[in-house]
Amino acid sequence: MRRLDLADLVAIAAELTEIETPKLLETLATTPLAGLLAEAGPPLPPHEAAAVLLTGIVQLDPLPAGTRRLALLTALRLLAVNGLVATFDPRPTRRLLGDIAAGNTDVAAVTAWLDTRVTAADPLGGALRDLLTPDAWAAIELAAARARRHGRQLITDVDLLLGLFGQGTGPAGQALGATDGLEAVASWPLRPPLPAFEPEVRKVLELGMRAAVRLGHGEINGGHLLLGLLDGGHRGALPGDVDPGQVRRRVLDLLGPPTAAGGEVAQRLDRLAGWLRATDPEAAAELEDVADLHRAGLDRLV
Amino acid sequence: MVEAPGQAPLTTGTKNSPLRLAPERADRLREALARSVDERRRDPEFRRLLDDHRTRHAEVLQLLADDD
Repeated sequence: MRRLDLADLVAIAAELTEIETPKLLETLATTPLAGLLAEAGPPLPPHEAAAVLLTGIVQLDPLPAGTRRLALLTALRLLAVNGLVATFDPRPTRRLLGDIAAGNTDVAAVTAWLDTRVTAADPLGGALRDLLTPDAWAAIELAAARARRHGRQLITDVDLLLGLFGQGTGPAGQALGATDGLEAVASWPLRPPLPAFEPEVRKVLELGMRAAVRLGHGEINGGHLLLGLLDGGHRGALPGDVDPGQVRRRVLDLLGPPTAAGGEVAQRLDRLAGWLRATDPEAAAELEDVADLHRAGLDRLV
Repeated sequence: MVEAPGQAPLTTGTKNSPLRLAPERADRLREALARSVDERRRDPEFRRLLDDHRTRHAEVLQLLADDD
């Protein structure tokens, strides 16, 4: 999953306020904003990270005017670079932002609010598209082929499930008990123009990305998409004699244990600083500074 | 480089505590950030997404602008 850095946030603020960048940097409280951006990343999935930004920016209130628009556009940008979109009703959204400003709504409530409003973009884009593995693409292509065969414009949950089963050799196919993949898949060119996805399937793709980020996996394979189907409540797409709980356990086994997510470099630097503190406090302090820069995504600037 | 004893920490830092960067490094960081912001504003992909969001969410953005 991709994070935003301080330059993204300040650039949006500059566009909103039309204040020159050096002047804006003098007035913006960059320290807490950078801390917020550091929080808004793995292991949090994108919709939770967007909730952290939305809530945190409104609470910090960094601009004399335009703070809530800055919060909304920054959260939308984080979602977009990760290949996700959000659907907002204007008046309830305005109320929610007002509640945050008044201290009546916290990050958990905003996360729950975003949960139902965030899906994958269609056509696929951003990190979601870039992180899909060949087995996931093959399953999507099989799903698209089935939709076309049935004369449908949109890929359904059943198309995707059968695509995952038909792909066969990936974690999803194995968890579903497939013995091998469809031979035709190997010869298909990857990423042809696809039919669009039903809204429920766009949600499944987003849930698949969530599963991958939560597990600390740097890719989205068919197993993650199968978890997305199960998490999205699409168990009805499974044959009646298949136990969804057993499928989930099998796919989690096949995907392997959770791995270290983002911030790993910063954590290592913090550990090193801890060891050094007793003997060389100055070097330890400098390591902590560099760790902070990594967390804020600013390490490439110095 | 760390701050000298008695020197106030700079607030160009990150996370929850201010960085203990020396002034010249803090200045370099601020200048680098300003350059990075200006590059971002000229980036066509940045502009495309921002314009797209402003169009898609025009109504709520207008409501919020009215509140300001």
